[in-house]
Amino acid sequence: MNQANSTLDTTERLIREQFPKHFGTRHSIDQIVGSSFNHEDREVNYITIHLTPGGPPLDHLETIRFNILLKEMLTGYDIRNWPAIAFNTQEPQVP
Amino acid sequence: MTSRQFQPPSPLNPDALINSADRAVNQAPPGGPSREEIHRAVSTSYYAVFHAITTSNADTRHGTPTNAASADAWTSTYRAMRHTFAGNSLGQHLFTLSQNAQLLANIFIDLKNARETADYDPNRTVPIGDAIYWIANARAALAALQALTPAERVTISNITLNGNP
Repeated sequence: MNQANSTLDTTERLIREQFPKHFGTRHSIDQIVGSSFNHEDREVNYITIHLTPGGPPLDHLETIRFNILLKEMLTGYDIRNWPAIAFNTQEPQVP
Repeated sequence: MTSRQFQPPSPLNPDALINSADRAVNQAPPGGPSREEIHRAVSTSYYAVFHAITTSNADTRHGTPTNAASADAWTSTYRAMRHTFAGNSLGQHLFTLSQNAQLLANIFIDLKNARETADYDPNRTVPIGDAIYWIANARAALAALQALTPAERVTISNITLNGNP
């Protein structure tokens, strides 16, 4: 994670815990990139999950259900500024 | 002033918006889409879902306008939804919604954050793979909206406009 804050840190931990349970071992995470900024007095959080290239296609609906699951778990930590989480199957771009 | 023949409101077509985002990302000239095109595609995907929900809200409350008065009422409701209020309200009720309403609400919340990042965070470059994901999410949101029952549409309308189901 390239920018530290508690929401991003907690979300990354939950992603790494829950991803294998939800998607099994045929998919794996290559890299997680997070960012945060303030917009109209709110913290806007954003995460890209870069999946290891070459894996089978992910069920898109399952990625949405995974996002809902994470929101529920984050709410349990009293975190409501949920990050938008994109599942990215392309090679990470070089900045 | 001459009076014009009645024309019903014609909001932006959500499918056409998503298609334009898709073309920008997936049919770019050699060298690929620019950062600006990728970020605009994320933003456009959000607005497709936004317009779809506002149209559904107006249809739910007023039906199809048949005259100037009903068109004014329809347009007023169409324009009433506020981005942050709708996102916060859907978030508050996310875990009590039916399956399709929950999918729609979840995607709206995520797309809103994604588009704010794409439009306003100068320190973030959204990769093309993310834009492809958000475009697919916008399509999934439209499918979920289409699958809502009339009662579920009323729920979404009430939450996004008034804050409660």
